[in-house]
Amino acid sequence: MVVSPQMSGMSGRAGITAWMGACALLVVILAPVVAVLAFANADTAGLWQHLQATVLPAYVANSLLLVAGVVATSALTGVGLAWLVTMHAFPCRRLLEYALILPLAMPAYILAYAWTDLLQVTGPVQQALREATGWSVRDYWFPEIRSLGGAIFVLSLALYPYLYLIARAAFAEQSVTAMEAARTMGLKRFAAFRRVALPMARPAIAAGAILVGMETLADFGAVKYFDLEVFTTGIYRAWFATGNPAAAAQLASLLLGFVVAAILVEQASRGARRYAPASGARRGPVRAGLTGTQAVLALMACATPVLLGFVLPAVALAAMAIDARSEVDLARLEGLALNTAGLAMGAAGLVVSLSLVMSMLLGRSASQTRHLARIAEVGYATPGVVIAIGLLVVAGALDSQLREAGILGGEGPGLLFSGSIAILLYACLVRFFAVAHAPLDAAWLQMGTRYAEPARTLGSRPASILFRIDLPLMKGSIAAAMALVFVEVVKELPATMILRPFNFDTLATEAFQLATTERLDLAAVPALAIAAVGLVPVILLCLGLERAPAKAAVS
Amino acid sequence: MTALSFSKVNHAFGRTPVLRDFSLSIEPGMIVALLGASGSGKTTALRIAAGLEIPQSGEVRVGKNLVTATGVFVPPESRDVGLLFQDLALFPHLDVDANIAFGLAHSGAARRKRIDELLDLVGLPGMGRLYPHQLSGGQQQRVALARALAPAPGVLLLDEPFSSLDVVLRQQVRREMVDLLKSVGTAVLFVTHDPEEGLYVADRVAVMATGAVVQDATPDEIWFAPANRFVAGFFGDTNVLSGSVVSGVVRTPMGPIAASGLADGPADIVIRAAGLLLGQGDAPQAMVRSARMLGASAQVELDPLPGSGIDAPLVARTPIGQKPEQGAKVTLAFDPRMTFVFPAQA
Repeated sequence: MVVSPQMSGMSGRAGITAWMGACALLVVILAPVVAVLAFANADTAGLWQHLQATVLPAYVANSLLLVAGVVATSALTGVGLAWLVTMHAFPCRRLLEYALILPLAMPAYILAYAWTDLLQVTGPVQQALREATGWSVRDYWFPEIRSLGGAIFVLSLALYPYLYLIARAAFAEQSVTAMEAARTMGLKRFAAFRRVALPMARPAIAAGAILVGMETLADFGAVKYFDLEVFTTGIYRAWFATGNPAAAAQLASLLLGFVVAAILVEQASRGARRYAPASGARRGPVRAGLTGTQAVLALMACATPVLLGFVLPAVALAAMAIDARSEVDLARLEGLALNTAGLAMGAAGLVVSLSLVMSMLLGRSASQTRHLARIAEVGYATPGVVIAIGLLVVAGALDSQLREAGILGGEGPGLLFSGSIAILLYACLVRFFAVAHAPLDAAWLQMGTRYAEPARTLGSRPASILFRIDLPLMKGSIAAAMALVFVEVVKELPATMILRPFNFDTLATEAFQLATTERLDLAAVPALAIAAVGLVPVILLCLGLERAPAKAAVS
Repeated sequence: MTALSFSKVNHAFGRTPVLRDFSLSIEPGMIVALLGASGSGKTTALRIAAGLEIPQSGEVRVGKNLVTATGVFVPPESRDVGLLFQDLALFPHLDVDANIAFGLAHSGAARRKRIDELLDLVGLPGMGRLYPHQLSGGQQQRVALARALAPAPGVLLLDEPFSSLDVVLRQQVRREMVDLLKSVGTAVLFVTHDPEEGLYVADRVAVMATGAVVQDATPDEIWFAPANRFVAGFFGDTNVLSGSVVSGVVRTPMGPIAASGLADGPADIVIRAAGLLLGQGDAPQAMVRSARMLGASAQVELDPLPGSGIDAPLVARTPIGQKPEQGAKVTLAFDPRMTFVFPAQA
């Protein structure tokens, strides 16, 4: 199975078998996405025409407004703060540089629960307002959080860290010389930023903005909780309220179209331009010291998103959890935690194993064909709702085949694949394969044939090299990839919601159901647990930043 | 009986030929250096012998066994071949003991005994529990050698094994390794681009150019009887004069030289820098343009004087005690043992 590329090139048959194996694995991973597109042509018994005439314009308009709002807000926040922390010195700068990533720990839907509690009529903010002014509830206007604006607010808080991280890496990577050259040509600091640093970081920032846009399109939990009519909620409704898979698949295809368009725009915007510094030694940026009012303003600017996106929501959730502690069913909570951990462990094991298999099938050296595996990134870009619909289509077709063949039926529900844990694991594979494969393949390639060749000349067969050399050397990368997938699965909501077996709940689905049935206080406990798990990759990220302050590539 | 033999091996990377009818054989217990410029295909030959590369045509035998031929391919793990990699490639997750034992089939006490034998052999007793990163460059080198020798391969392949060491360490490790390999008695094929290293280490030197062996001989023969101008020029600076063979003799401004076996016609006279002798006399032929110290010897660049009959600058290597002054005028002669006549190249 493990052959060096030279050998696979020579004894062509083994190479072709491996290559076909890699293609087969990709087909399996992307089958649900393809199924959605294939099913989009099916007959909807007039429902599609109805949707088109009624809700579709609203879905499109709301989704686009949401994306525009979130991308603009997170870009301003993320890029601005990245500039502030990389190019200036002010009190607490180093602490805030890391703290600004903290909101990554909170999925958008959890921020939505927390901010709803904070801002609702009976919440602490409005209570304080009434106490301070003596107004009664009817005397004043207060912005409604459960609105498009509210969704832009919570999604921006959840997603700005992506842009912050990308822009921060881009600024830190830039040659200081370019900035210094601009300064010696008479540009003031901000003008140099606008005319030199920002254009140089543009491709990275554009890629980050598109990532944020895709995450916004994919969000289900927050928009559903706020009752917004966007694509993901529309697909959910088409499937559950009308039981019409064809209509759901058509909506999902349309959403997929937006995602593909976003990917193409991103690819095109990269183009052939090179923005990396051409040559010369790189020094760390010389930070401009801020004092007095400027320093205070910088500190406040950096502290605000951390407070809004992490500290206040965490405090609100904790307060709710404490208030509701007498009602919390510990046994049920334990079951939820076990379900969640079991599902996430299973998914992490499956995804990481298949990622390694894919790397092995593709050989040990970098090649053009290797890029093929990146097609799997389509799965990561596809919203969970869409993947879920695709899997329901696939599983439903398989089950009906089995029923017709007489294998299923009689006493049971006549369903084998639909509503099983297996299908849920499959969904995780589709969605998170790229999360694990990208870093693992990088580690695999870095190792290359360097240790496999000596092992073979020392008498090890390819299969035993895997266990004696490859896996032990990749231990760290494997653990990190497992952790990433684990956390993603714990946070995942829509696919779990749609595909979970009857009576199988996770922390995320429980929190969602409690929140949507007006038991926000009880939802706080599982929500806090999810946020705690979400802190793991944030900590890993901080350790990574510590070790390699400017490692991410610009282009 | 040979320990390793290549017969008419051809190999190409894409459309670039690397080996062309490459043939070479190594007798048991012999150290053979495969010497060539980078890109001459020597490492490829080594990888083919180890089974890490499969040639387009030709045969390779290890001992009596045919390991590579049309329709025959014995995988690397089933060949009786050890390979010491250029970058050593010690397994970083294993300690010295486990690295050495990696290729051992023994277990238990026999395994322990073999590890200790090898640790003693390479002069690292008691260091088995250390990890590669805790060792010096020279120690890593020895562990890599012990690991390659552990399964007692019939033939050991060494790929530029000293290139990662600094100059001082290189000479010491080289000396130790030659003694050690001689004592073990394994056949060794040793790839290097360093002519001096090849001459020092090997019983026989095979010089490669453009994918084939151009001369395969003892170090003495290679030095004193190079097969052609390329081999002569490969081992340090040479001077090339043109002349012509008349009845088995070439006349040069520095005197006649025998060209036995050559037909009459144009010829190249190749004089090693060390074979160009400088003297004092009434009819100086060259002026010293520069004389630089090289350590034990001096490198002297000479400009021919008008009327000397020589038309190009010359280079000489003199013992350090005989280094001439810059600007000095000298007479020229050659040491016939380091002067060769070849038919003129087109």
